[in-house]
Amino acid sequence: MTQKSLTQMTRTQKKSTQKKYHYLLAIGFFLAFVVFVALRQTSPFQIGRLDGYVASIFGGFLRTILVSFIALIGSTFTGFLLFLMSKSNNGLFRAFVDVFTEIIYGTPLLVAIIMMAWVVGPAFNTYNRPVLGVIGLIVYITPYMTNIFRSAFKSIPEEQYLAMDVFGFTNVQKYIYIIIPQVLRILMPPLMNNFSLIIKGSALLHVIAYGELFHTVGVMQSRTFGYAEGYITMWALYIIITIPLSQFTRYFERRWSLE
Amino acid sequence: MKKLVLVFTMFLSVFTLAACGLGDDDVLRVGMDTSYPPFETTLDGEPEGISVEIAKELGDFLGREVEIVETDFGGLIQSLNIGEVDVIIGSMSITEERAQSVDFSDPYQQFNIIGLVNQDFGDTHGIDSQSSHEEVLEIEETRFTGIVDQVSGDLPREFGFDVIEENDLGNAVTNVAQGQADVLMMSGMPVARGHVANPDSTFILYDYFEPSPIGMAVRQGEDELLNDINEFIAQMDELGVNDRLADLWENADDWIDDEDLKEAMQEFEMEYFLP
Repeated sequence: MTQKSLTQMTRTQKKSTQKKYHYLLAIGFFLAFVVFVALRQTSPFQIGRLDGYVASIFGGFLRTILVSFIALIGSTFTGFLLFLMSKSNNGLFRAFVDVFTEIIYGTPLLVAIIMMAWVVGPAFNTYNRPVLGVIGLIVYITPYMTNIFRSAFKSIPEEQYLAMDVFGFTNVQKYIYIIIPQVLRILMPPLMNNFSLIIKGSALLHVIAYGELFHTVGVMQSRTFGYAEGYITMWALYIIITIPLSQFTRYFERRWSLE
Repeated sequence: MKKLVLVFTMFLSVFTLAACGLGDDDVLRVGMDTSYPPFETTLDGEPEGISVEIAKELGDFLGREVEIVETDFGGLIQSLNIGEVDVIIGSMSITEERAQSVDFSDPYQQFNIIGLVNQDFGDTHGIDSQSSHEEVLEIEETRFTGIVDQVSGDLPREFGFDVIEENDLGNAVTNVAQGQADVLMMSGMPVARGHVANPDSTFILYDYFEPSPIGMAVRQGEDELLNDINEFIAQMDELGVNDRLADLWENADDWIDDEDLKEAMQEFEMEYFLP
């Protein structure tokens, strides 16, 4: 090995250790900030106030994941349906998608959930708030899902379709062998981002008293007055799900990119 | 065009089917906000507390099964009026304003509204735990805080003060503890617990501003249910309800994590509630 490449190697090594230090420092800064904030509460910060509520908060944590997962599956399905409708030759379908998208883009998630649980549900004689809340979440995310499908399918060039025709693929074969494998690769990262959006949005389900993370922490707070303790724990738990998710998305993007 | 008609017919039939989904049943649905122990609280999704027991007793009296529906306090009346619940049993004070949108039963308990006061405010104005409530009301610049749609939010206005409104007890108590507000007027239990959580920055004004009668609420015009409920309330003693609840009442101050304060509350003959 030449002297030159050796110095180069140590240089890159140095750079990567330096990078690690930078990240550790940055993380340390935010941790210190949390500790600082926790210690400056009027009510003394006692993490022991969580005693006896760990199981119920963990249950809420699981329910947050469950409900977000259901909303992810549901909105992927409805989003794809709307994408198909927007590609349809039927003008009414396309208009329907456009109007729906505009309405939802203008609606805050909180309003969507409350409308669903308190106004739309009762109009159909149902008061099943958890279900209505999840439907609200699905409805809200659907246009964002449609967008993902739109840009993913756009990325398949016209020539491929021509080639598929030349080889005599049937419609089903086109999708199974050519389009979907490519689209999946493009679809995954934004899908994961939407999943993260859903998880964060699901916190709003506490307004309809669904026992997800925010709600279970609220219960603990009302019983122990451990407000700061509860909020910080809740924050940490959301981050425990969302950060690995975004890291995984990045890894996935690197791993599966064609370049 | 034919396709369109078909699609619309399908939608319509789905909607109609959904609309038929829920028939009348014999379950008595009871609305309450489960963030006020020991009256209404929940653990692992199971509502519990004094109000829950009263609701079950009412169910027994009426021969109906009871289902507790959790709702934020501010949404209780709406939940009642859209038909989601049949009755509110949730430490709701009987007020004229509320009586315009619901019918109240006779009172079944009573809360005395006392004060959680900021310590610095007390020092500045020479107010302490043993001052009278009139002394506080005489200070013009007193800043009150309270919870939206609750007596704590409405009562100071009746006395002619502005209110910093919050959505939950925690924020209201924090306002007083941090000095963004001076006084929170509320029933004994939340005030005592708020003080225990902030022992140095707050104190309790034991002389009560007002007694506040608590009733059950039903939709306007549901006279039959209301009469049954009033009958139940009138017979709570004879039916043995109060005896069965005695333990809960007695242990209610377990929620106050401070022996001295428990004693003080008794010494001042301050009752959190009068069954």
